[in-house]
Amino acid sequence: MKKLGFLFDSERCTGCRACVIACKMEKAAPDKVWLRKVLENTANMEFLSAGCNHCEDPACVKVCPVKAYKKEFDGLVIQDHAKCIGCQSCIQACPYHAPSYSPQENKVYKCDGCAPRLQAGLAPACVASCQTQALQFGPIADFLKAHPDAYVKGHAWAEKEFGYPKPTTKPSLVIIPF
Amino acid sequence: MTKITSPSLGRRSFLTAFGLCGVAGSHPAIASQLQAKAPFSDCKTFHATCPMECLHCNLKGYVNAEGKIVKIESDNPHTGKACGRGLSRMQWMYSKDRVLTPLLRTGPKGSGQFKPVSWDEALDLVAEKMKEAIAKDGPESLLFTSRSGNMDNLCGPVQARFGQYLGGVTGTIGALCCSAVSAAMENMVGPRCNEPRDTIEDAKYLLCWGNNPVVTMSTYWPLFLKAKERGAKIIVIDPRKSETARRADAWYPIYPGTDTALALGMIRYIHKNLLEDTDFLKKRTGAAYLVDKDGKLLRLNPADKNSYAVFDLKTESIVPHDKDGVDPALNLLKPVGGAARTVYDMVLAEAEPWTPQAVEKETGVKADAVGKIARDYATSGASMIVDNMGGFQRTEYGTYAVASHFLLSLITGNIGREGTGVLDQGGAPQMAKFGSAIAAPDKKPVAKKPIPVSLLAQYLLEDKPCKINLWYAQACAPIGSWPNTNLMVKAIKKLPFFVVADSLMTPTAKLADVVLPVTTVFEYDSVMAGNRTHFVQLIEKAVEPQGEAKPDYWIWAQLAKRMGFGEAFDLSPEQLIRNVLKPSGITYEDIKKAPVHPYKGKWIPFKDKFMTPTGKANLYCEAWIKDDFLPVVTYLRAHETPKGNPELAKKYPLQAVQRKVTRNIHTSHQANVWLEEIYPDKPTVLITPKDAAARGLKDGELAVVFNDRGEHVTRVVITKDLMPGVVVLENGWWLGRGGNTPSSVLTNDTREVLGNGTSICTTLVNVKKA
Repeated sequence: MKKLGFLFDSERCTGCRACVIACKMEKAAPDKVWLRKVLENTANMEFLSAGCNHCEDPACVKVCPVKAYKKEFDGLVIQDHAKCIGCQSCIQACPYHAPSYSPQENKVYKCDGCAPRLQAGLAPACVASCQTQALQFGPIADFLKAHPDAYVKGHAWAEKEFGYPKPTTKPSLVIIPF
Repeated sequence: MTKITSPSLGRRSFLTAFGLCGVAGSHPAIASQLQAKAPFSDCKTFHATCPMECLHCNLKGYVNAEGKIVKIESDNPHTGKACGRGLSRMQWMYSKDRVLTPLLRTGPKGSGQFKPVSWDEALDLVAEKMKEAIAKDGPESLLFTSRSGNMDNLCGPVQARFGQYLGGVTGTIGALCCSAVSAAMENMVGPRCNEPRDTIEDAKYLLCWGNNPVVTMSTYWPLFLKAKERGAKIIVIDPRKSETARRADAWYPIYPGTDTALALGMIRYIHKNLLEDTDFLKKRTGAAYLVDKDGKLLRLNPADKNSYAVFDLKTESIVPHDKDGVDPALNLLKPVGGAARTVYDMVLAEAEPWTPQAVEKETGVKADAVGKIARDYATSGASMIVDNMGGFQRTEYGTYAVASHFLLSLITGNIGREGTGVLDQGGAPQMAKFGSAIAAPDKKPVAKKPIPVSLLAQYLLEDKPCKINLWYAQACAPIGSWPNTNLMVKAIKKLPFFVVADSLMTPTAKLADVVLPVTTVFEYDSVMAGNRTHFVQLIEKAVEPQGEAKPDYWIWAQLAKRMGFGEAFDLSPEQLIRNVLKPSGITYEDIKKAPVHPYKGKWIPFKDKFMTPTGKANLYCEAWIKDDFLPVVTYLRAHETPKGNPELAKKYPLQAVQRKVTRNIHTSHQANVWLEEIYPDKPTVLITPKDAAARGLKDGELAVVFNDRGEHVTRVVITKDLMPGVVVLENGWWLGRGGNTPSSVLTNDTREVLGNGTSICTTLVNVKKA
């Protein structure tokens, strides 16, 4: 089974935020809940589209006191929203603070890789909305094969430009650096 | 199945990846959604476009059972994909800043104190004020403006028609954005909005001049990337290393307002190195036209404006330019008959002073780069200059700057073929003819003296060219988009009556006497056959409007009834749309199905001939001969620059330019709460480390950018990717929102003389700690 993940090509990204908004709408995320963001370095006009990285070694799964998170065998880390008690320990534990808290509902939301869209043969909303195919989704092994150096170099670039955390949780995100 | 393919994976493996998710039954959280049915498939869908001054991407709105828009997609594979602003449009629709009813001012002007009134009450009052104004000072005492807030075919054109039914009202001349292109292009090659967007991917050399397509043409950036994948070079000339420059093959920083000097330096180099396309110059341009010793065009028949003369090298005699078999001399070695030299001689004479060293001194572009850019541009085989709405145009002599680009394209034959030309705005009307929604009045209106757009505030304050009793502003932001905001506030406060039709309580609406609530996208029916996309699109009403909002054309129809010509305007939306489409041959039914490109294949403007009276391009433009301006491109130094006004530069040594940001389109989307949440709450000023250090400014802290016109509080971003002595401000912030002031409080309101445009990118400022 090929594990799924994201590829981000930094040079193709225009910083347009379509991915951020498409995600917000697709998940009908409540007020203040954002499952994807675009990090910007205004001094050099570089961007990183960042969300849940569906890590190989996901911190959220480990810390959740009610076991709301599960690493599926297709690689996606899925939250059972009904189980969530809003303790936010997953947000703290996640190096990327990718899960997002809704104060109204006292619950945490997290990217599910747009599994319902995948079911219907559609790319995740963020990927489908990307003007330039800077953001892609598919088997992470294929991305790594096509861009052998990118994983290490890309995460180093992201750390340098945006203070993006080191890939300690084995994030399923290949970044092609600038 | 998905239409999305991935460049690195290819369609097959991508779908395989999705196929694996057939196992998603193991995802407990989505157990209820396991049908292979796309989310939102229970929603009704409608199509529309973002009609403000943008790229007019096609949008698909999903409406749920409660009649609410819940999702917007941009899924048309041909029209290009929308950005985060377009997709988040529903936050504009559902903004807490929506104007929900007509409002009448109750407090002092600008206090923002209003009371809701009925539509009848508001319309009666506006009609009464119009009648009063006309009775007192004629229809010229009414000022109508409709600008880039909505560029569909039923907004501005209907307002303009209403003015004609009144006998002609006062309007503005020129544009805040791109008048320089009109004044250059229309005289040189033909009408505006003929552009080569369809062949970007065929270009081998894309010269982005003062223009940042990654942000301002992001929908089309994939075409640039495609060109790049095919080996094209992307080059950027800009004071700052923009988003595009960061992704380009080379960036050449330049001082604002000096672009024409660089272009003339390139032309000089091209000539000295015999890189001209002389065949193109002879056959397709008026380069060989003869001029007399005073620099006036020679005509063989005084009664025929097009009877230009050339010197035929075969017969060694002066002959008509269009004589069969003529081989016209591009240069005259000595005077012949009444001819002193050729137009091309005049062009070269203006280029001659611009040696690489002189260019470097004036523009900051390194001397050795001038020849490099010129050679690559002239010899790539297919070079395109991308200058659509570039900031370099909004300078005091912007017309010459734009004209220098057309000149480069003509001299090197880089126009009228795939992958060449000058990429300006352009849309469906270059390929098909569209009509007016409302028929013209029987009685021909009398044109009134217009107000140059950048001088609007000044003219209002001085009652020039006449007293204005009532200003009706729709789809525009005098506060925020026009230069010199503080002067504009003063001018509006002086107005007897100010009507603002808008969907939001904007800083401009706050100054109104009456605010009329207008619908926004997905709340009204309309059509887009405009100059920003090659596709004709239907704008569909998907949901009931918020509050009592109405389309602009509905408001004009109600006012028309009150002014005595109601019948002409009283048409259904569908009829209005059909009237617009009729001359094009494209039907309502066609665009109901999908957006329509009126031309089969790739559109290439000026392929066989230029749209001038002779069919040849003009290097000599008689329309420019006013106030001692030369009819050929020359470099003039803008006044509000360090070298143009050393005295002012002692106080304000920094040049300020504005950048377009993905946060706003001009002033629109400021009240969009999603964009507020995902973008910083303050505008920025980009400044170099040296200029920041000299002022004790630290990265991330607040600073005040100021000049005699006003003060603008911004957050400091220190960057080395910028020309020293230049600061970059953000365009579009609302006055007062989040405690912010727009950068337009600082901008130069000098008229760009040849095009009646603005000079906002030749502005001097200083920066201090907040």
